[in-house]
Amino acid sequence: MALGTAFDEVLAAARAGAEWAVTALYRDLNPPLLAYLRAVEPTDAEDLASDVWLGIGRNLSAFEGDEAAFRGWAFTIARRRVVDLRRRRGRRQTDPAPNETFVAIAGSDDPEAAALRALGADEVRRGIVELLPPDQADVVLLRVIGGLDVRQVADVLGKRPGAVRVLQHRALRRLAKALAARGVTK
Amino acid sequence: MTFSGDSYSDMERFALDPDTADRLLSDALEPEGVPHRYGEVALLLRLASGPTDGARFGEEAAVATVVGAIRSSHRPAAARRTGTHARLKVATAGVVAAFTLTGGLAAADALPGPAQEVAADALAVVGVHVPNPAGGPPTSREPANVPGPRPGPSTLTTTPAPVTSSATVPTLTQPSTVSATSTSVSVASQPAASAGRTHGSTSPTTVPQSSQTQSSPAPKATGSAPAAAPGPTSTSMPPTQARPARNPNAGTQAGPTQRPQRPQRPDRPDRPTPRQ
Repeated sequence: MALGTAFDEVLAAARAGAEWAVTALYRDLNPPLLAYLRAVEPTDAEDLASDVWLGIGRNLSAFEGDEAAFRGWAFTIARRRVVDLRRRRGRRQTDPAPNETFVAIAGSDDPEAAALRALGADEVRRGIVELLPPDQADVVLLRVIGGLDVRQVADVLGKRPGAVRVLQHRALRRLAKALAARGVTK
Repeated sequence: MTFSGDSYSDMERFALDPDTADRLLSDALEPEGVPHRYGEVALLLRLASGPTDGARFGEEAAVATVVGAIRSSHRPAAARRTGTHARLKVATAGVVAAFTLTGGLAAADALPGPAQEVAADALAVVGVHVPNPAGGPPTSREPANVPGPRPGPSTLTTTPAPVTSSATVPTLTQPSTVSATSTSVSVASQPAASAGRTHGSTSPTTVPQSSQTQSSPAPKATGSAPAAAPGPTSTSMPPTQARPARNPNAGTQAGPTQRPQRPQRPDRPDRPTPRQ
């Protein structure tokens, strides 16, 4: 939420086509968008991000809401692009990976914290996606990367907030078990 | 085992209440508040929220694309507005042209009979009077409600309706006892007509021959108007509306001319009725 109180002014200017305002929105929102897309679709993340911003530009005049709503709207577009891409492929590329993911990256001899810190952010996010089922990974990434709350994540995923809470709870337990089982967490 | 695949022992080992889970994902937990066995999960999530490499790569091109998309999304709306305005202008011009053409033809009495009648009725509403083949209001471009005859002699002599080349002149017999009221009503309701030819006359006005022009074709008395009959008439009937005659070959006999009274419109209750 970098724009804060200036968001309304920036949004109005962006609607009018002001380049500086679009740049401000892009700098604020593109990093988490790209992080999410790289986590779920690493090979097509940049293309997907371009599609997302194109969709934002085409429909910006119809958007109404605050900065949080704008963020949620952008991630909704991003996830729909991901779903469309997977539908075109006819298969899913982010199948849950074996729990050896983090162990293989970190190595069993390294201290657990050092092992994790040795990973880049993109690798960590990618590891989460490979470790968790798709819906749980979506919840974790949207909450951690997108900064969305439970209700916003529910809107993005088309689920009820209660279902999102259940998913995030299971996701955290699964992560804890995976890290503990492979020696990352004692 | 539970339905989610966890054993009961795992559930106990990795117990996590929903509120803590929510705060863990919001990065709102202090390190000392992180539950046992979830320390590395918290670290993992913190690392996952880290910066993304190359997020600003190609920023200028991306922003230019977005700006282009925003501006192009505005164009269709502007084009729609422009198209709507253009269609509205064309429609307005068409309506004006149609009215002008119809009015011109009607004024020239060049329309077919039914069309002429419809045009005359329609134009009479807006104060323009054109020849009407079916009779009705005066067929002149002057105001229709020329004041009726003023109270004159107690017995008026009615002459046959003179017929001019363009129209006939109505001949009405106005009894002195009733015509005053009707005249005053007409004057009050049509003040613009006070400049008519019969204004101020206390007796039936004799319109000169030269005044019977096309612009003021006079109606002929019809229907229940006995005044159309020649000869002296003494009647107490109120003035009746005369219908115009379209007889361009009629004679141009001059005679006393009284413009017919236009009946009061009952559909104008808001207009006060003048009193004597």
